[in-house]
Amino acid sequence: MAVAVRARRPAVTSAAGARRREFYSWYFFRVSGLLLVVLALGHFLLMHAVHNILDVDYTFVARRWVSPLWRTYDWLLLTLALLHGFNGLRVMANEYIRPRQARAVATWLIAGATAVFLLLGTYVLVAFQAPGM
Amino acid sequence: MVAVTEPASREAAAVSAGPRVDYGMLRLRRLRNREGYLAWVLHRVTGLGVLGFLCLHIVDTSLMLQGPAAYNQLVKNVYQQWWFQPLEVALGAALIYHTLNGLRVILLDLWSGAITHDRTLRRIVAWSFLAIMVPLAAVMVWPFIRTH
Repeated sequence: MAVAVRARRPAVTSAAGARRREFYSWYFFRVSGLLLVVLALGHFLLMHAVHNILDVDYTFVARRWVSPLWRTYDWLLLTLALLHGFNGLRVMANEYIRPRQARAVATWLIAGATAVFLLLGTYVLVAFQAPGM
Repeated sequence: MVAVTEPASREAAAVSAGPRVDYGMLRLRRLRNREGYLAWVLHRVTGLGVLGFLCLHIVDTSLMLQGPAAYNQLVKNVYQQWWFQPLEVALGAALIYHTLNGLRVILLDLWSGAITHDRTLRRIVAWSFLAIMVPLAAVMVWPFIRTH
């Protein structure tokens, strides 16, 4: 029999906290998805339809990255796509991985991968300087 | 008992209702809403595909920091090769389908009456997909056909 009186868990770890986070995640998919329609499709069409992949080389990218606007575009695309994608992977891990410990490990790995790719992409976009441009 | 996390989307909830038949990892279930099932599966598969490419793409773009020789070598030997183009078209197809179906999901979320028109919406997604992918694939592949 459970003890009649017990301390309430803090909101971060409680089931109510989890529901709140899942709601934010649900919302984030829709908002980021709509932004990505423009950002991701725009990027893909720019590289494959407006130009062709045969035109893309170091000079092509370096010229784009002269402009801070393009760097910002690329960074927004990077961030939103990574978060949208890895959040989706997290949802799938929650559905398909049954053992609680394994699910926790998977979630931490997903968070770690998100951080690594986000940091790498951000670093490239911030640090790149074409010599003599 | 280990608590099972709620499926995060209405789509998944519709799929997961009904008596369960466990086939190991796949966990196929006796479906009620069979009709939306393919769209739901394809949404996940295309999402994973684009995500996988994204990770590779972030790494290959980081070669820009290594200078023109390194970056151009990768682009020339992989991305600009004729054998890679079917993969590029597949990536485009995954992106286009995921986008179109995602817009359908958003429509279902925002408009409560939309669920009665779901079959129509899925047909619109399918036909829009073809209408976009056929010309897009042609545009993508044309320069490679021209040079042969």
